[in-house]
Amino acid sequence: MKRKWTPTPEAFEKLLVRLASDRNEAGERYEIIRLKLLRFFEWRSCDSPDHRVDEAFNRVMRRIDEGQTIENLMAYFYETARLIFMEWLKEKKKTAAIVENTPATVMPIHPDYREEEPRVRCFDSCLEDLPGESRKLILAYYECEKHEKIVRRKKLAVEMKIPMNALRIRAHRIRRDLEKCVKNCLGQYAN
Amino acid sequence: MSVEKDKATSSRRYLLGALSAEESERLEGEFFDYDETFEEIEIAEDELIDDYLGDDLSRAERDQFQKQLLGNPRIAERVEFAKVLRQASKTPVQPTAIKPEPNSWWQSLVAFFSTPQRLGGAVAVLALVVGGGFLFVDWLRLRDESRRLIAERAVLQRENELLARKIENDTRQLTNEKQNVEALNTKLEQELENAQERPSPLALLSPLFIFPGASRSTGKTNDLILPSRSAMVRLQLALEANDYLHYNAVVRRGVEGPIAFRRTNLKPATSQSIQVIELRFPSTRLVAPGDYTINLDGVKPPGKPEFVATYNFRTVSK
Repeated sequence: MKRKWTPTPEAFEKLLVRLASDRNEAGERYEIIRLKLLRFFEWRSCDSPDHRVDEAFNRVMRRIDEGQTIENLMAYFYETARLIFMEWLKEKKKTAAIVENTPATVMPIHPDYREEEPRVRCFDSCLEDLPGESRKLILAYYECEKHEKIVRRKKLAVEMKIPMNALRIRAHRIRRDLEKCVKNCLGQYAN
Repeated sequence: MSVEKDKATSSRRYLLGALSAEESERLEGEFFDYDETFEEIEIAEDELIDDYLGDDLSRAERDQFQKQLLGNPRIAERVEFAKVLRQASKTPVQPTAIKPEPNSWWQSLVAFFSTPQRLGGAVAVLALVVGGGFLFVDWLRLRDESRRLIAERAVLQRENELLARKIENDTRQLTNEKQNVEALNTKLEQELENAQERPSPLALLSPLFIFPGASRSTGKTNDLILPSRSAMVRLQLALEANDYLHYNAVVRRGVEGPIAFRRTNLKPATSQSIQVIELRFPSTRLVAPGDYTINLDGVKPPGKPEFVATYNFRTVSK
């Protein structure tokens, strides 16, 4: 019977070495790959995306540990992830034959969301912690709606003397940090 | 359509599940390879959420968004966050201008003192400012003075260094010149000595071949015929054996008379298959006509010179 391969610290070390010679840089690369894999499974509407990310890492680590030559590591990660997705899809089809395909669970969006208050508190606190310029930018960026939104953002880009796309990226990064902060803050509330 | 807009549209369609399988795979391969592409898709996700909340999606897009994305707890969470963000952005209290054009200083000042409380405070502040101003000016003066002194000290230090270096160079140069002068003097003295020994190109006399104790062994006198004018005497002293490294010769008038000529460090040469020591000196050294004796010593370093032989000759005027 074929034994299931389990990741070892040595195998993980080999993966890190393969990612970058500098350990810190390797750690950063690992995080980026993990995030990309996670998004890949999420955007393909896979359930248990975290579990599938772990599976993808295990398979790649195993190949490296066994000494297999991998020319393009990122492409290999992608191919592995795609394979896992196909396996999941196949499994899902099998299950669908037994159980009626249930419609996707849509989370209701209520304006009076119960957790709104802690979320708002966390948001205000995290917003306060942002550097002044970032705070002004993120609020100004989302200030208007519809057509005004476009005009406002163009004006912002002109004021900041940066192209529109650079403004988009900057706003996205501030938003990402803010979201992360709010998520952590909400986690503290939950505890 | 610009490349950026094209990418944004592709990313948006990818998230909505509107791309073909090939297009999706191409985009996925790209976002695994390039972080920028990945970030572009994340931005598209932000924008889709905002458009969903702002009711800016078409009917089809809205359906796709709900079906494709909203079932994902992470996206649902993000939607909640976006709602708060939208709400906060629309609150009028928040300052929204990014790096506003700064007013001129006097405009800001007039605006600031427009309330009586601020004006009262301003008087107190003014008093502090005036008092502090004097201290500040004094401090500035001291700071400038201190800076000037530091700068001067640095300049002096630099000048000292340069001076020390110059003195060192001059001393070295003088030492070299002194050594050169000494060497030149030595050379000149030597030249002078040689010049005294060789006053002028003299006519070279025929060599006089002398055997050791010649007058005794051969019974004939070795006569050196001197011309009326000065000439260069050549004496060839025959060696019975060449046992020494070099030889010293002393020419005396008579047997124990004054030294007429002396030469050291002589090397033997071969003349008519016989090893000889050749002496050359001006005829003027033989001031008085008569008998002369040559004592030849041999030297074997590091020992003292050893007697080798005595040679006799007699000068005869022409």
